[in-house]
Amino acid sequence: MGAEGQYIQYLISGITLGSIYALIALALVVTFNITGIFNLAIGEFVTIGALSAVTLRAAGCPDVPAFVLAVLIAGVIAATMERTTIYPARKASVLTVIIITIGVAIALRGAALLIWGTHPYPLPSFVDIPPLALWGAVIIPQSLFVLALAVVAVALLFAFFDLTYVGKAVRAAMINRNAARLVGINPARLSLLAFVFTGMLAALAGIFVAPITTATYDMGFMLGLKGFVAAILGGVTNVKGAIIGGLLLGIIEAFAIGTLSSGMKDGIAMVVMIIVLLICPTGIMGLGVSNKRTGSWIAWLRQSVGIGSR
Amino acid sequence: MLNVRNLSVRRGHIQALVGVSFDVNDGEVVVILGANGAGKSTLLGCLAGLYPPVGGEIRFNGDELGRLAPERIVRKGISLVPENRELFPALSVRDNLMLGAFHRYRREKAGLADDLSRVLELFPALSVKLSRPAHTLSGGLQQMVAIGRALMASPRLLLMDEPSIGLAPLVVREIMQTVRKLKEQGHTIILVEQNARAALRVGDRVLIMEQGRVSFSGTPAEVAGSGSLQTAYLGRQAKK
Repeated sequence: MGAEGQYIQYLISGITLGSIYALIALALVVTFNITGIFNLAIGEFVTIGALSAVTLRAAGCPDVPAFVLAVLIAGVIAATMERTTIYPARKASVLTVIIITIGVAIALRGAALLIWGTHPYPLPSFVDIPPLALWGAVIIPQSLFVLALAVVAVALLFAFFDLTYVGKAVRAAMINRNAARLVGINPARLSLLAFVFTGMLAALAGIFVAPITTATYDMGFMLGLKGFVAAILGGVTNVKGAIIGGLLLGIIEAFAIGTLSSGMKDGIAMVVMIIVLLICPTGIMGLGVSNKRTGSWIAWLRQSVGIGSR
Repeated sequence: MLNVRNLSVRRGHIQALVGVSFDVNDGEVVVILGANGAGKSTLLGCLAGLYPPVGGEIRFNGDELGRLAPERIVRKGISLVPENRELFPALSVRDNLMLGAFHRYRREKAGLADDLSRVLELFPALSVKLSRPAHTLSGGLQQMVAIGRALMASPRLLLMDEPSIGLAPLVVREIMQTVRKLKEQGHTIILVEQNARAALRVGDRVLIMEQGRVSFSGTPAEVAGSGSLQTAYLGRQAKK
């Protein structure tokens, strides 16, 4: 493979990885916009989706029903999480709720470890065709499914927000929570809707990525973290930014792995996050934009990574 | 229709309302006057559910509202036009208006088009701006959207918080004409307004608030007849 082919390979790998990060970032940003909470347990729903699908298939369930059921299981767990841990703490501080979501993440990972152990589980590709060659690079067919999922999810999300009455109500609540309450929009219901929808989206991402990465009890941890970095990179509250941030992070990571070292795989996301917080804390799409919600999050994050607040 | 007894509200460390009592009858326009910080907006916010009371009682058509959330109170038939309008700026005028009917969307979907037409009859200027994002409108048109959105909720009691604030005199006149039309249509309204002269022309009764308390309750004629109230709330113009 020539240098040009290698770079194309990095780009394709980056877009595949980035599509997953984008989906998780999307899930985080949607939840954050609706509830003001970053659900740091989102990665665990990737795990739940992938491992539930593996188990259901192993039990004899055909592929599509297994995938649908796995997504529904994730939805039920997300609903339970929201009602039992987030809703009771709805008046608590942001920091308290962050710690709650981290606690839920640890609990879900522990439960996955108990149920599935440390063994990696393969999930076959959705189609049994050989890899495709493109300008000297190799494309795994499953990558195209991941990309298609990202495109379809984003298109459906935009259609929901722009074309449906409920979607507009959700946007209204994202814009002005108090004004939304004054017209009868119940933020507690939207919070439940946001957790269930994004939990299911993350589970779907897990099912689509498992044939590439295999499914393990802790597969969602790094994916969740990188989705979080992608959301920061894109601009925290910006849906388009989440997609761009995810793709960009995936591409940066793929090039760093290819040109520097595979040891950079996980560290690069943290380096990107610190650079973003130092140079442009409101992210790519948030350049020149600042609001109270974003500002408080950025201040908290900057302090968390030890670079103080501006 | 509305019975408020000994209502007390705290906002942070400040006692914003202290033992406020008053009644509003069906079809009345009650004007609330008072200086900045007197508790007028807090009172409307409390009636709309934004600020839970720490004491007292609010009864609306016999139902105790107590500490109900805003989304529950709008279902009871109380709708607030907030100070500063609080529109959804990125959404279109049509979406802003239609979202006003959110709480009854499922049950009365078919009738919402007629309600929208009625709002547009009241504010014809909005008819040609329906697809425009709300933030691109002038202050006056935004105020019309805010009132229209509240009316789309089909309220039995409309709370209007400083609808003329920051608007040009001609627009203020138009907004007050709208209040008069709403009164003629039988709406019950509580109107908080700094422009006392304009408000008194449409009001049936007047409450004056000072430091979180109701210091006067009477008719517009009684305010006009009282030298001290004239001086305090109507200024020099009233003496002409």
